[in-house]
Amino acid sequence: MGWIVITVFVYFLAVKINEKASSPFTLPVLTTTAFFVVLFSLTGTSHKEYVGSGAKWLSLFLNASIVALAIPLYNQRRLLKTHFFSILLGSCLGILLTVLIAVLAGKSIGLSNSIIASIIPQLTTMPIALALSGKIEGIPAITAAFVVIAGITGAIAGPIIMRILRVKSTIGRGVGMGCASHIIGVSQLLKNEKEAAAIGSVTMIATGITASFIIPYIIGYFL
Amino acid sequence: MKWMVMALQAGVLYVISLVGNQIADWLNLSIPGSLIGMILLFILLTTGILPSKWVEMGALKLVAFMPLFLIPATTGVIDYGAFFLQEGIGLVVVIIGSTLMTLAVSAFVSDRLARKEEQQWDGS
Repeated sequence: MGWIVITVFVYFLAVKINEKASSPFTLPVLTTTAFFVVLFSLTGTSHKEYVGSGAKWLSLFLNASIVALAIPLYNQRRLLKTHFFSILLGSCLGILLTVLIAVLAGKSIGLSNSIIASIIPQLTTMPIALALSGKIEGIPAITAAFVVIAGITGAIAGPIIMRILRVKSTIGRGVGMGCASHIIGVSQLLKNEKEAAAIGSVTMIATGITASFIIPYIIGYFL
Repeated sequence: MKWMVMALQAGVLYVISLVGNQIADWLNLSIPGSLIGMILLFILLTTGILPSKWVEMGALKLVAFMPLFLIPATTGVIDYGAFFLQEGIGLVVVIIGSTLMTLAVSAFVSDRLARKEEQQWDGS
């Protein structure tokens, strides 16, 4: 029970820090995880003990909160309807590209199938990525790290890439960030492109859904 | 009172996630059950079977606290420290590379598609 209290406390502290100094590197999920990794190393606590002693209760909410993502999607249904084709095409291309690169690059540097399967969900939002990783025989904890790297990469490099490619429409900008860099990329848009950010969050959820429906069925052909 | 309503709504969402798991089981689907639950809720909302105000408050609270629920899973990374030290650089290059490519292609294609749609509007 102690661990759950510490986790909630550290999380709220992390949220406060992120409010004060907002950046892709101060995201609560990143700072809280880093804090616990250090704490586990210092105290010699194993992750198993941590989860077993109460932290698992927090994960119980995870499935319900994935279902809850239907609400923001429903609230933005007009946006989804208007740009349905652009969003769907953008996320499908993004998903296929991610699968191809993960498989080709992964095989060429000699990664095992379970690591390649852990890379593939990187473009989806974290809760979906963890569920998907488990389904395709990846390792969810490793996927979590990749999801964060993909998010930060897009948040930092996304605006530069889109400038080079002259992606100026709110649709293009929202779909690109939402598809490749989920919530971390979308938060970057939130600062001065509210409309693109709304498209980004719809794309993020749509990519999560599409990825979950496509990837488990095509992965067998690659791995 | 407000908290009780939200807890109840979160409970409804939890039940929907269980139904999603059950459906995935029955139909032998490889899709995560919670995703099926999400689609189910979306259908219930768009068809008006379930008014969104019955679950909205609790749902938005759950979404807001999502990062907290991820911590038990993300902290599992500590068990793979040696793996990351060994394979880390190659992996990071793959992740960064595929993110940049994915972002470039999805942004570019949807941007040009949007432009084309706009031009068609202007033309007609």
